[in-house]
Amino acid sequence: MTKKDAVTEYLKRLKRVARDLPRSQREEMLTDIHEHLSAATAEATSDAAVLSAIERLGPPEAIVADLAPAPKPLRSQQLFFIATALAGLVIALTLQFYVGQVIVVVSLLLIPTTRRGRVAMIAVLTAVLVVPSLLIFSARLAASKDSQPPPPQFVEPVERRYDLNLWIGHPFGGATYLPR
Amino acid sequence: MGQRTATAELRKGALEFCVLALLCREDRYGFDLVRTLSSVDGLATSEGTIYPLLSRLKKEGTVSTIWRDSDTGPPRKYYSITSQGRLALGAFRDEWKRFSAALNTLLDDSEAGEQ
Repeated sequence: MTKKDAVTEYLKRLKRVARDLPRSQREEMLTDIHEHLSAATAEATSDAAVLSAIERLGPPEAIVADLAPAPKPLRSQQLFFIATALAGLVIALTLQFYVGQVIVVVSLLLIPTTRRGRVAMIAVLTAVLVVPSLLIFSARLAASKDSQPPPPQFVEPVERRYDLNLWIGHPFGGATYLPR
Repeated sequence: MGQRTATAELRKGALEFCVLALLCREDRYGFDLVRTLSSVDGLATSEGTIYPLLSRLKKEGTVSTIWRDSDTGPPRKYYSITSQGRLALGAFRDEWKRFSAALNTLLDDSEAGEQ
């Protein structure tokens, strides 16, 4: 193996191992190592010296592990919770709306991910649950100002169900609405 | 095994301050920095793992980077220490002096006890 082949092979291996790193971090690291190997190759007088420079760099896995010290979430676990979330969606649409909805939310929150991913997931779920509820709540509030609310005994069953939907399906909005 | 792990951890923890100490004197490019560090007796480490360390230091703001032209090839990324890095190095230097003095006293005592 020539020294050029050895360097190319090492960089290919590094690129493969680093495929799950964030793009900017991966590119910076590949540039650094490429520059390092170019400098090492330029001063090397023999193929053995290049191989020695590669050996001193250590295995690509060690470099990548130092860049991503957090344990990588297990792909099989991620797939499992995505599958249960989809199953929950099917249940919500065909059988039991509330049960399915709870399964979807719990599954999405249990998907192993990075800290940033979890924050993003919670933000999306909160937006999905809170925003519609707040819109409904404000619309009802505006409507109630225009007309007197009916006495409790005349509350339509449909409206009771609507309140239950808010309470269970949209907990944040429901909590805001019910004490009214 | 335990002793080897402890020494490795100690070396790993001190490495970032070795980088800052080297950059205190002059700006250096990656290859130069890595080679200097790996040539220091007792600091021997996989050269490749110094780049993730440099990346972390840059993110933490203790070093900064700039690309400069090279006389012998393509432009090189030079690392320099920031004012925040100098503060961190100063704090570590003081702590290290106290720590190493205390450790040396204890180890010398234990050596004398064995004899």
